[in-house]
Amino acid sequence: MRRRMVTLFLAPAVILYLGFVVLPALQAFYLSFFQTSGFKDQEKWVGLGNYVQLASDPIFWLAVTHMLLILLVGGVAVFGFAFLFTMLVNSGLWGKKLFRALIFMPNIIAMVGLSTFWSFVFMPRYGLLTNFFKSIGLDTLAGVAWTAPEHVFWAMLVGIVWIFAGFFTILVLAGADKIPTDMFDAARIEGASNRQMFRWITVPMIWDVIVITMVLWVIEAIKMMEYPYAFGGPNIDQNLYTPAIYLFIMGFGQRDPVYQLGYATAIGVAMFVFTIVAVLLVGAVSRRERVEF
Amino acid sequence: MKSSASRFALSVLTIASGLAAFSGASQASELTFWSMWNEPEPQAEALRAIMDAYTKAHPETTFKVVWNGRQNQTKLRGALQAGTKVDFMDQDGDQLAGGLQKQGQAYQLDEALGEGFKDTLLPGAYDLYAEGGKHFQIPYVYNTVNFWYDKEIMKEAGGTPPKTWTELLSLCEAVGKTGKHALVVEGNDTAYTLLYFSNLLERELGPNAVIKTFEDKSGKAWLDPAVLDSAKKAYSLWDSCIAADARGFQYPAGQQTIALGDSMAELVGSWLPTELSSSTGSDFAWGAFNFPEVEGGKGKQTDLQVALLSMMVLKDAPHPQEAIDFLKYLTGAEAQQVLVEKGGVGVTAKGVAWPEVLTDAYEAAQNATTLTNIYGGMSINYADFYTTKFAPEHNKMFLGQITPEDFVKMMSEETKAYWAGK
Repeated sequence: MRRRMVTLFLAPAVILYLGFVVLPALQAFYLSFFQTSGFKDQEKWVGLGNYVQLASDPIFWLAVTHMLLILLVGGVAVFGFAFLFTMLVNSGLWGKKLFRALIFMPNIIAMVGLSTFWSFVFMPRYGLLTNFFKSIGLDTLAGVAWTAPEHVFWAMLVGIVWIFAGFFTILVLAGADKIPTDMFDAARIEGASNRQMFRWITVPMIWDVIVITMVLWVIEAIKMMEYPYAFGGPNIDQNLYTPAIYLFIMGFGQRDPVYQLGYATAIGVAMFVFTIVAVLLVGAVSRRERVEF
Repeated sequence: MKSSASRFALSVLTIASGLAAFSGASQASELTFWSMWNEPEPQAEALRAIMDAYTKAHPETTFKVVWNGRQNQTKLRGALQAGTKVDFMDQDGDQLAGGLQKQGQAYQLDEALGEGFKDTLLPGAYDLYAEGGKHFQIPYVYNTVNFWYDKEIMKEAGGTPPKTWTELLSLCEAVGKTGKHALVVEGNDTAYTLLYFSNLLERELGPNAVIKTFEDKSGKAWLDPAVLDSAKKAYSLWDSCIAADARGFQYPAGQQTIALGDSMAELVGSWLPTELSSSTGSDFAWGAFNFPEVEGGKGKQTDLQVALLSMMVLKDAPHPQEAIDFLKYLTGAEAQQVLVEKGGVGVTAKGVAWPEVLTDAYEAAQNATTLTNIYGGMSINYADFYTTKFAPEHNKMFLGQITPEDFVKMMSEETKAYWAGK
């Protein structure tokens, strides 16, 4: 009886999930074996042709390189700030809730608004950074075009770190708030510093939270699109391509009628594989005994 | 007897009114229009006014409009796959030519519009997107590519609109002496920066030179000295015309420097005055001049790159004839005047003056000797090569990451590889 009830209540969710997630995903796998524009043309079976083309496509690998830089360099910065903010906010700082809200604030602003803000920060001639350097007499730095092709990726990455550090700080903080306070009290009595308490109490006790946040970051970094695309403008430079942007350009035409939907789907499948591999790697690297409290 | 007569009369009346209703129903049609405009835009407002006026004159025709914005064609692709019926839609003509038209989804217009239709439009407009003499688009908004400039700065520099490349460089020097920058670019916009090279190549080798160069499957056409010369000329603009920090301008930062009175001009479409109107105000002294001739080149100063916006009737439209009838009205003088007044755009109909701010562009369109597609037309038939190779590699050259020689060599090799792969 109980089993029937469970089945009955789960059925709508399972049907919706199968119909709107699993089935389209399987169709996408299938579509990646075809050459098609996505209009009502005759789809042409190319087998693994799209994947063979992808393997030797320098633009795809450039996009993957950018994705890895966001994942690794951006990840180190995002988690570095998240841990730093967690340590500072939990150190008995006055106005903890206010700082928490300020750190999280970028996440409630639309990506287009954030990209406009950072474009203004880095804008040559009139931008915030240029004027700041001018005001303190660093004219050489004031003359640097931070959004010129050789710097634009790193300028974009600064914005990404600023946005996501707040989000991951909140997740880490939420985990840290659950740690019994008597552990910190005992450590303080023993003379531990804030840094030592963070390293030896907070991190081990919220390890499972950290692993989950790292998995979330991996997924976020691999599918990164909105911010770089909004930052890069309507005819985006390849210096800002990520696999998701390349997929969009090849499949949806950006401003030009490219419309290679089969190839774009193959990029999507490759991103799916990257995600699975990266999540498994995070799981393998972060495996350790769980502290229970 | 009386009763039978009454019943007969009633039956006749019923059948007659039924037939009338049936005949009315068969004539009434609701045309489905998918549009590239967003509903609050002035161009959408103008189209809405035109459709209302048409319905008033033809009560049997009404409109159901989906305001999709600029991704209209892409959204329509999914809808067509799902079996949605659409009568007509609009988009940039080059995007349509490389999209729906290329995919055989457009309704051929020649029979319905007849021979004389093209004479109602400005020279070259109707034929621009034709394929083998067959027409699938009705251009209704006209954008020209020119140098859009601040007349006050030109006056301050003591300059006049240049007709040759040498005159342009002299003008740059004169403007530079006033402490301002002659030209500005959006460094991140691979399409906008390409306007210089594509125009230069068409001035050197004549109209459609970019396409012709690419269509030499051996790739050797890129090694023509005129191609290298065009690339070098484009890059040389950084010497005296464009400020070095413009490499980092991200759209629309570059064009804003015109509104701020810092730069004189930008090579761009005639949409610029509208785009900048909130920054410049309505009394800004806009002028426009054509891309200058190069000495010894085959292209004329009156040849014009354009970006027309077109209407397209879909192949599977439920009411193709009614849609075409409306589109004829749309390109007639009355409706085009509404587009000018309410939409603030240049239009394709002959004899309809454009908004005052676009006076120079209107003159350029009227006097155009040849029309070619914006960016040299590569995005129509070779959109994949244009997007992944040509525009990005050109941008690297234009912004100094590779030399003009490297660019030309690379294009030659990539073109050869592209055709070998086909």
